[in-house]
Amino acid sequence: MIYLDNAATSYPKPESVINAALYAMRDAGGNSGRGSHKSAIKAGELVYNVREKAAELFGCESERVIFTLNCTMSLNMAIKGSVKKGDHVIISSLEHNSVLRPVHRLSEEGIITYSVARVNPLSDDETLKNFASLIKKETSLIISSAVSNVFGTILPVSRLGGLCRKRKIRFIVDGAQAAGMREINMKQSNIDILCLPGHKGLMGIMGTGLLLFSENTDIEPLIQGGTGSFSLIKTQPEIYPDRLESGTLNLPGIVSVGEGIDFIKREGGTSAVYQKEKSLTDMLFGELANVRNTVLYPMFSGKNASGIVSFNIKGQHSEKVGQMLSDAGFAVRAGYHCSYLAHKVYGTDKTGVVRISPGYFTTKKELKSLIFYLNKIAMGKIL
Amino acid sequence: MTHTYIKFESQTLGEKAKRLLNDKGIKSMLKRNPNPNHKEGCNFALFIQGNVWQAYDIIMNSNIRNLGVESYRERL
Repeated sequence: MIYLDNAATSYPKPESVINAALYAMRDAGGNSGRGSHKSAIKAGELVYNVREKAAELFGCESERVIFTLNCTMSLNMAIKGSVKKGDHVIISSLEHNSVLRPVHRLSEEGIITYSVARVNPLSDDETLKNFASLIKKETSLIISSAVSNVFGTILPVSRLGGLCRKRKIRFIVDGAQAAGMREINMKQSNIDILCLPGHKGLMGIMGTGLLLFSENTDIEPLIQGGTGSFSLIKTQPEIYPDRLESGTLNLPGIVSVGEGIDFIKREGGTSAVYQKEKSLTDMLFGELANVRNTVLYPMFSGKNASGIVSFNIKGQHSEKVGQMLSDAGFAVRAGYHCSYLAHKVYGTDKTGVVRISPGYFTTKKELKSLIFYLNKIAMGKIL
Repeated sequence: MTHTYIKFESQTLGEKAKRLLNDKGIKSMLKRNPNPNHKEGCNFALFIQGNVWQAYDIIMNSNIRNLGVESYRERL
């Protein structure tokens, strides 16, 4: 199989990541923060190592790194822990359902109202204007992806952060398709809350997510429970990370994320990963343009795109093309990518798109092989 | 025997302090607090190899939240 679905989860994982997860299971069996025995203390040290690494990579304090199960959980915690009755929320037109659905649910419950700001992939100025025009006095929150999971569009996160800071609006960023592949600095970009998966660009194993937030941001906890601290008090602790981290942590997963961050550093850092993946997607985009009957989305290419190339073959549903590619040994993602808004707003809701997302271990030879098969499919030689 | 240590509400805060002190050449060891406050329950104690008050000043200057210096006498 040639794996080209790294936007869903990165694969393969570096050997060092696998070994780190195994180490946590085999040699550090205690429950972090829960007990005075050495293995519990050791587990807590391992978890803290990863807090420090994530804090350094994204620019926040280590105790404001919260471990979750995935980016969706982080986003739910961030969104629902931020709003109060009567608030107005603005989200971008490229948001994943992990943003749209919690926001929509809050609006159905009569807690908030929300607006969708159209992203113009060719003009950051216009995108900024679209967001600014929707702000009203009740607007308490703006949510934007850093990179679209459907088209790879890079959103102007730093400029949106500046807008939010100026208008005193909390800013949440969904970094699912950016973490580990693009530089994100919360302080520099005025990001109040950053939600991330641990298992995509950060190379960790599945079942890992992160929620990072700035010093002046407080988040109401969605769940309460044991934290290994304040055990004789009935209420949830006020201190972080305990306030937002009830229950046993996924130690092997967290340790794997830490090793993933180290792997990225050893390979030259986030910008080196980005350059490598960008060269692959640029090549792919160029080659796809020569495949007969292919519909590319050129407005999402060039400087404003990252890590993802989406396309269709005229007259065929994306799912059918995805299945044919699967039969030929290629793992791509077809359909709607859990992104109602992106497909609806940009007119791909009838067919979906075929999404190709190369990863750090993808080779140009593999992409050429994909193009070879796509040519056959486009010419009707594979049915 | 009397033990003196700096008390933290969580392992995270204790680890943060421990690493800060280590960077400044002060060795310490983080353990569960052997003498927890009976109103609050579990917390953590950072045992300092050296002058506990010097370590405490460093921690305070770095704004790492803590519950102060505490001593308890171990029953033999």
